[in-house]
Amino acid sequence: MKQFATAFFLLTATLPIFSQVQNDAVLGALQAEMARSKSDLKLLNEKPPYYIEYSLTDQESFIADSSMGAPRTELHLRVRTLRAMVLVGDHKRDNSLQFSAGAVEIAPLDNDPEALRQQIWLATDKAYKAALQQYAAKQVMLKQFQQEQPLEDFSTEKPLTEIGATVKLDDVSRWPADLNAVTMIARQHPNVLSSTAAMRAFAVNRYFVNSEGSATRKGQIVYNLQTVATAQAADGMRFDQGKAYVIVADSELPSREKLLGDYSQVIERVEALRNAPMVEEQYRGPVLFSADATTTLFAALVSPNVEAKKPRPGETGRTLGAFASSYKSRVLPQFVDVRDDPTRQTAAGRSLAGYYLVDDDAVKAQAVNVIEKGILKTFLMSRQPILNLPNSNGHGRSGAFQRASSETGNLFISSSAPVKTADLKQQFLEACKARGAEYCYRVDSLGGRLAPDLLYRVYTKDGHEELVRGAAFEQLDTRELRNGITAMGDDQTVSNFYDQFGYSVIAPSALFEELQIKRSPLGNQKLPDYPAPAMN
Amino acid sequence: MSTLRAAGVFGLSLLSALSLAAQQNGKNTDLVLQVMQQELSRAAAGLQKSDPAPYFLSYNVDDEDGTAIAATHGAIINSVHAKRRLADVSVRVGSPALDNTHGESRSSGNTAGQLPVSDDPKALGHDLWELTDAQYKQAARAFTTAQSQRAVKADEEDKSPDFSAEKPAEAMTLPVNAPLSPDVKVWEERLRRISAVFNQHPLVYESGAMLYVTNDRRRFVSSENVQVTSGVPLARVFLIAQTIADDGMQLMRVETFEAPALDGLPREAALIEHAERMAGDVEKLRKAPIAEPFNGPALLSGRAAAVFFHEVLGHRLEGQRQRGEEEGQTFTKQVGQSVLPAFLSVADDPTVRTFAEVPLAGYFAFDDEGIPAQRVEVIQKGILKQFLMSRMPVRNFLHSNGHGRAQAGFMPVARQGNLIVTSTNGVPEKELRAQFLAEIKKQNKPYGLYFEDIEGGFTLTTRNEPQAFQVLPVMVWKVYADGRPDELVRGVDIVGTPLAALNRIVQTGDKQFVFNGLCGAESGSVPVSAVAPAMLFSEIEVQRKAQAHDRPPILPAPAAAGGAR
Repeated sequence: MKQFATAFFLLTATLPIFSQVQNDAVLGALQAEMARSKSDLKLLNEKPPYYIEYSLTDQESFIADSSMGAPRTELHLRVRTLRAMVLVGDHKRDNSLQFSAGAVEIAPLDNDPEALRQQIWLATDKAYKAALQQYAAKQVMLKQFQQEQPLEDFSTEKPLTEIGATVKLDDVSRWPADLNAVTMIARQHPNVLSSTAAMRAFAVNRYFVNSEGSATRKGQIVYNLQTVATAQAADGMRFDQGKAYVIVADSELPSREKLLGDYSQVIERVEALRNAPMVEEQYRGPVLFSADATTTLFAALVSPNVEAKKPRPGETGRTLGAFASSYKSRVLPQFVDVRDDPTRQTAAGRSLAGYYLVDDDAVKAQAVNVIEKGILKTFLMSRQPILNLPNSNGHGRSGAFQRASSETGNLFISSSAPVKTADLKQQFLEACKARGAEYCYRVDSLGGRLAPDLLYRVYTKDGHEELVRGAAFEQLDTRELRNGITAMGDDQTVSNFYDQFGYSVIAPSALFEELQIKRSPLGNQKLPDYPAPAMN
Repeated sequence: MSTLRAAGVFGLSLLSALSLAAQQNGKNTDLVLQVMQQELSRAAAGLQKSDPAPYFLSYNVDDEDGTAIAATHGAIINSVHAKRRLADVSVRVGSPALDNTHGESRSSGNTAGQLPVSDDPKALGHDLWELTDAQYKQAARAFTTAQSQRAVKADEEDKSPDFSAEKPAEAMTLPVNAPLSPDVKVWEERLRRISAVFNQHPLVYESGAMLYVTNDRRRFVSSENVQVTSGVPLARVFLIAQTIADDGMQLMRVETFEAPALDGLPREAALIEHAERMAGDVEKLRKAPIAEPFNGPALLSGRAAAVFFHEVLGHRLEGQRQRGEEEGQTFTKQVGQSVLPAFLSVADDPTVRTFAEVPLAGYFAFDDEGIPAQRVEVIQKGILKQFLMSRMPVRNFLHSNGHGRAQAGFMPVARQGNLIVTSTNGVPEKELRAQFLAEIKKQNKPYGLYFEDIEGGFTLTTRNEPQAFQVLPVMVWKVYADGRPDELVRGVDIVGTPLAALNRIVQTGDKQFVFNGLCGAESGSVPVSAVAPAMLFSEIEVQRKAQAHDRPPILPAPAAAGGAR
């Protein structure tokens, strides 16, 4: 791997930067068309643009899939996507609506100035015309609503020039064989119905210029590796178990031995689930979440709700989501703090997927204390303001096809009174004993729809654990987070995520005083109508 | 009675397939085919006692291997090589008279998925099993629905069975041609040079040159003991040039070249020449006046007539169009009657590889239901004789004629292959034009329309839509009665009803031309050809094309604005 993202350096717009921009064919072409668009782009009697941005995403992808010990896909490709966005009107009121992203064109892979500029020119023209239409439509729409909204559509920020290193995928040749070695293990386990391993490796270089004079370039490499094993119990219930590795530093990639070891455990778990007892009809009592399960919980219930998403005209609420009317209110227990810090490169010994120094609006990333002592202090902000929060705090991010909007970077969840892991487990068992229960539940990992992926009964008598299956939570939402967590551990754990851009959630284990667990409403599936072929 | 017998035959063949497949395993050298046979036999045996039991099983495995390289304005925009192996698993439960694919449940006949690309028998077998089990479950559910629908619904118009009985075929191993492997670097350079032609034409806004090379290999096995393999590599070059007229009309030229081998494609100099001509056409079209609505004589070039016949006639001759409750059934009750002038005959012949040295895109030796492709004389001397058939029977046409086609992942239906229109009333080009002028004068029209090229079209065959068609002409000329030079016009759409239009053909040319293209319909996208001579219509109706309102770009192209280099 070429140097990854560490080589950002910040300088004011002086000669060295100028020459760097000029030396980069992509930035050069973007700026040349920007200059032309800024001075000349105007249709007849219509408004000229007041803001233009170009975002070019150069994505190199390596895709490999394996099933049951054999390769299914191996693909290496590179695509350049150009997005041009034009705003007409002014900062106070422009054409932007919720999903206005501008115009997208595929751009040449060759650094050929003429061909690059041709595509930029076409995209700009489409984006400007679309903006004029949106502007007219939005004026009509706004007339339906009485009060003039006091917020601006687009914040004013300082221009920024920051030219980071570009990245390339390093040798990826080990992966097809490694993936096959992983799924090959399943052949020794007749109860495993299907076994897959998938690698998605991306080297993403993003180039950005806007009409305010910003010019940025940055690169990120992400490896997204997922393994899955599926089994079915005699009553038809199906289980997927797997392990996801989202890695942004080559040095943290697992060795083949590590992958094989991990996958053997995956298979052990899925086989154990087949024979595990069903959860009871109803349970109400203490539940201990592992740090990993807590990161999933906060990724689902807190991360989207602290991202400022402006409601549509006429809709009430400061933002969308569960915290729409929670500004300056308590949303978590008093001892919990939440901070989003994209500038942190590592935590708990791992490189963070949500690390960046400049966001996709060309605004410097900032650490933001979103929730202090349980109180929602602010939101993560892009350049699209919401009530009382007129400026960006460097959290505008997007994939190749969208306009930047407020997104999580590295979300740190911490307790002002962290409890040692062993003590937390003790607290959990005591709470359980106090209820006179024979056992209580520990969530090792959470899956889709926040249903427990691995759920254990922990017996008060001797602390031994028993895996159960078929469980779901009766209610697990932001209300439970606010009132239900009684303590958090000191075992900060990182979960990296990647979906068009990377983000991370870092959290310790958490003890809930009382949650309700029930049987999963998802029905069982039929067993195979005839047996699988022998695999070993 | 006949359906009962058919069921018996099928039941028998399913059992016999087990032993026959076992015999065949010994002499099979293609490992993938061996695994397919083994798994098919295992599935047939394993599901034999299930309720409902399958009466037909088939596996279609496609090895897709493709290279795509695209350039615009002298730069590469995409260059990728990819391969994958896709399986279509078909399981039919019930009986041919009524099975899970009945009526609206047709898609329940098929489950598609990816298989390993390596020839690993265990992994292949496992993934086929997984797909088969899923497909069986889907078929069983759909069969219950089909039974209850039949019970509650009034009598259907067409009580034909859901699946045709066919004679068991021998195993067919067709030659798998050596795969084409384009030299990527050489082609990238070549496409850069070809696409750079458009740099000199700032009014051509979007343009490109592309190479697609596919090395597809197909394997088919069924419980009727059919076993076929084939592979037909294909190389294609696309050229595209697009502009927008000052009034917002989108104008486009597309040229396609196909060949079974890379050296069969036009040379670079010829492609550059084509690109130049397309750029010129597009620039001329930008300035051309818009055509007025018109009803009068028209001359269609061979290529244009070929597209016209594919859209207007070909689609309506596909078997399933005569059966669907939603279908308009234009020709259903016309068998034995005259539907075209007596000097015209139409056949669909997928078995022809080339026509007058032009490779035909619609060539195949067996269809996607494992039936050998056949030449089908659909219309002889103007009289409708039969339809293009898959294994979905329609009244009076109970057998396939090898036209069941589908893109991987879709259920096959009857589709065109190479639609060939022949005429006994052909005259040389010059004479045809003279007759055209005479017709214009006879009708007292100031001009007629000459359709030089048609890009493509679409057809509505369903009942609740008007029985109409629309083709998309690009190069259309006004031919004046008074001898003025021909004048290019734009914005023409041919409209009308099919039967009426077809009977206004009065004369044809004496030379046939080929149109190769991709045809999209309910069973996905399949390559097709249409072959026809130029045709003189006494009357054709055109309307003005629905107008787009996108203005041309506001700023001049970067190259025109002072250059980017």
